Amino acid sequence: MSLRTLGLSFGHGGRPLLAGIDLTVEKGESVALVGVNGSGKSTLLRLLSGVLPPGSGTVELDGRPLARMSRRQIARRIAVMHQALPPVPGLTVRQLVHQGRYPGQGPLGMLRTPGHDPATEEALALTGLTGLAERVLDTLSGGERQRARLALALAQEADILFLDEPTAHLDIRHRLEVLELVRELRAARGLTVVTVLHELDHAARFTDRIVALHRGAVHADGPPSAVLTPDLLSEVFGVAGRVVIDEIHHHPRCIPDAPLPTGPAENRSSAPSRG
Amino acid sequence: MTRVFVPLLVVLTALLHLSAGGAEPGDLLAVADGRPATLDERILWELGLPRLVTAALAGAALGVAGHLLQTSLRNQLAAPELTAVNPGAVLGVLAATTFGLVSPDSALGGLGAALLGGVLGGAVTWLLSAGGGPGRAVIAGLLGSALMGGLVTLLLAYQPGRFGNVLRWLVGSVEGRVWDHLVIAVWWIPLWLCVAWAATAVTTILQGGDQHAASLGLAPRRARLAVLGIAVALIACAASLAGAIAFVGLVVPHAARRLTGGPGGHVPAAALLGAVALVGADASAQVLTRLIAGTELGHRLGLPAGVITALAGAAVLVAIVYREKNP
Repeated sequence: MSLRTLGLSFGHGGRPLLAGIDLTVEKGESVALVGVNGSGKSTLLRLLSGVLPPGSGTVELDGRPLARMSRRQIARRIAVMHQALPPVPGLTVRQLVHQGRYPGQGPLGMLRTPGHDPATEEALALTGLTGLAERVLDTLSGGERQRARLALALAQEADILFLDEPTAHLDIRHRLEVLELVRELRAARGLTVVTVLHELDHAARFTDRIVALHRGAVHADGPPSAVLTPDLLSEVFGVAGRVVIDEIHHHPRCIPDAPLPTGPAENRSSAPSRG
Repeated sequence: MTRVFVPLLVVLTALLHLSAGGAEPGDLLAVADGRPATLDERILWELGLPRLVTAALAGAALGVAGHLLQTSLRNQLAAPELTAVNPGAVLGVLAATTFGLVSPDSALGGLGAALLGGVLGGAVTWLLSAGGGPGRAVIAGLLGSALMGGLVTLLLAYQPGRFGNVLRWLVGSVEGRVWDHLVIAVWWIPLWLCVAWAATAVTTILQGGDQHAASLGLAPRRARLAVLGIAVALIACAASLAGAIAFVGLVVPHAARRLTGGPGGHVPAAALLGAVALVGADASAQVLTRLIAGTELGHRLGLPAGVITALAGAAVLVAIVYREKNP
């Protein structure tokens, strides 16, 4: 067992965003979190990484509640690739990625290794950023920024990797590159990976398990072939569509046909009510 | 290049400062030898050198404190005098001496009062800015500084007789400081400079925002409070020595970050450049005082260094704004 939530709930301003989430992510698994905007995917990721304290319920890492671990202890186990780079003027790629060493090295350790830290250089090399290491972040292209975010998370050398929309704002080629890279790293380092994804086809092709969130609750959870169905498309995403099998990669592909006039389905009894 | 250039600048400014105070190379050698005998040599040892050390320590403290405030609060305009910490420290010292709680010449009493006042000023800013972003912190800092300034005025009105002596200190001055004033500052400021340097990783990570810091293993609020604590320790000591020196803590950190490559160099550069700025300002103040008074110095007091830093700092700010508008 690796990461487990029990009755995890979170609300904001009296409005419940997530309610009663029971989820277990085993060591070495690759899980995709899917759902419409506002379904609580990013909130769940932030709760799982302990950045956000839960309203109720617990998150356990190897049986130990995150609430009883220090921030640094958590960061040594869990690395998060956020949606945006920190807006620090003048920061270079290498300096950013080197910050990923903080959980492992602490402030004094980091003073000893500026510019020649092996884990930093490895993360730069893996993401193909070695040649851009001295560039200032503001001057990077969208794809390069994405890789810098990934490199920062890799430099933490954590065994659990959370990716929050790692392919947002990327063209087709760069999307594939990032997802392929994550898959290779996962195989090489035995990582556990949880990814928030919008593209269902990517989720089907690059992960073993899809968790579909709908209105703050888990709507479906299982292998892509079981989760991705026309019913899911209509209930969760509010579109009429078909699901076919890709002949080469042997995974389901979703073909959305039209938005449903009624939108996504109303809540099931277990999900929180709105308002 | 920076590694050679900045220390060289420090030595040159120090020599300039001593010679502006009227010291000759011969006096310096005699003092270095440990045997100040003539009047000039004793003036150098008992007045010139403590004044130089005061300016260097206070300048270094303000430069580094400004850097800590700007990075941890994520605001380029955060500075000791704009976050109510320096005005609070000044208020603390003034209140303590006005009410006779500490002697004006007690190094320990002055530092203690400045610390209490600095924490008060910082806490006012912290409370006013609670829940807001980096922009709100600046407004809160300005409000807090205005409040501290108002209370200082209140104290002056309470005891108008002291106005003349206090005014110089309110502008910021290192004149008349002797070794007895420095017994604590000579270890206190270097100690906190070292702590600030050791915390480099913390301040640079905080600069990336709360979410960034939290996922890298820093509790943002706690870490920010710790960094602000280091800044207050430095500012309070600087204020107890030199009063309300303005602009050093605002302008110097920007220059230091521009001149150095990695984050590891920021604190040392801010310390050295802060020292250069205040020592240079005081040297200029001494030279200007002579020009104004003619050759005869007599018993007149000199121009406070704070006037020079305020004028030079304002000029630098105008230049920065102008350059950003017309690149």
